[in-house]
Amino acid sequence: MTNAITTSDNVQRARLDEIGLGDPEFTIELIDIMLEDGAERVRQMRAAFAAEQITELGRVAHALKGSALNIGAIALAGLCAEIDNSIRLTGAKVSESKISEVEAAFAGASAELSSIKQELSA
Amino acid sequence: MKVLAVDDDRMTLRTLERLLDKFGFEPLLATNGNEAIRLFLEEQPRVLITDWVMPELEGPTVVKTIRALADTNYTYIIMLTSRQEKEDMLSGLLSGVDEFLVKPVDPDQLRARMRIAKRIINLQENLATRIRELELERQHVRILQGFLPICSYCKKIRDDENLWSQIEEYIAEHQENIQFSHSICPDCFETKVKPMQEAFFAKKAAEQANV
Repeated sequence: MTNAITTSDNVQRARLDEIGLGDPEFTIELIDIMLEDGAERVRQMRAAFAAEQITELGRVAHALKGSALNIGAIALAGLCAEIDNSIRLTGAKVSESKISEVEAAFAGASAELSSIKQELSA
Repeated sequence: MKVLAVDDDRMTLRTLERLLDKFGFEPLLATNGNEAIRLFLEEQPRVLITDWVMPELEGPTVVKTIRALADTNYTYIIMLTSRQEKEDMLSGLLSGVDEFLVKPVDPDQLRARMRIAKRIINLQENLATRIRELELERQHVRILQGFLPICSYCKKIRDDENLWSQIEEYIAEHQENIQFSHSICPDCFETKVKPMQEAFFAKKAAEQANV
């Protein structure tokens, strides 16, 4: 395991290390939760967008924002916050490109989290 | 000390569980508002940490319900939220929240908030204990006040200033809205009044006989 602290928009390693309490097993557990629940929420966002369920889209974006912030996935959290605030404060419609951006950001965060998980498991 | 954490986000909940355990608390976990209220009633935790946005019952509704259900033990409530607008903060405070903690959970801030919670709860418990003690002392004083020194012969009462007074004077002085209408009970009539009457009439008869 390396203790080097690196920062990227995909995953802020310092935050991940902080919330993992320096415990590799616990950090891996949090990564697994993010990979599993995050993937499900991204799917729910796409489905809510397709069904034009704006309130549901906002609720899921809010939930994913929380998880992303918790684990240090800053770019993903930022995009979810945009969607959450846009729906909650202005009721504005969300563009499909924004959903695609969320999917891409989650893919990026997932790749980096998987890499960190491998590093911690080694 | 039991701490109930409620959040529909599995990661936040797991993080809270781990941190609370590390800080020496006993975490209880709920994934929605209804489960939180059930656990609150069953386990009587002293601290509640609740998310704001949740399906079914939202955080402020959970807080209002728990405030309404709580007995004499104060529950310290922390609202965990990413909402920081003034209106949201006011709405949270009005629902009965004591403290806010901004998401994502910061371990140092959580530890500091939990120290405050512990301090407030300890103060509240000390106050409740003192109130119970004072109530017991008040009852004791009332019992002592109920003991009246009374003369076995003349039935006079001794007051706080060590002065003896007639029982009716004492009662009139210590009890509002009491007035005495003097009368004679049947026993006293037989033993006191009747002999005096008989003596009086006998004397009267003797005087008339002499005339």
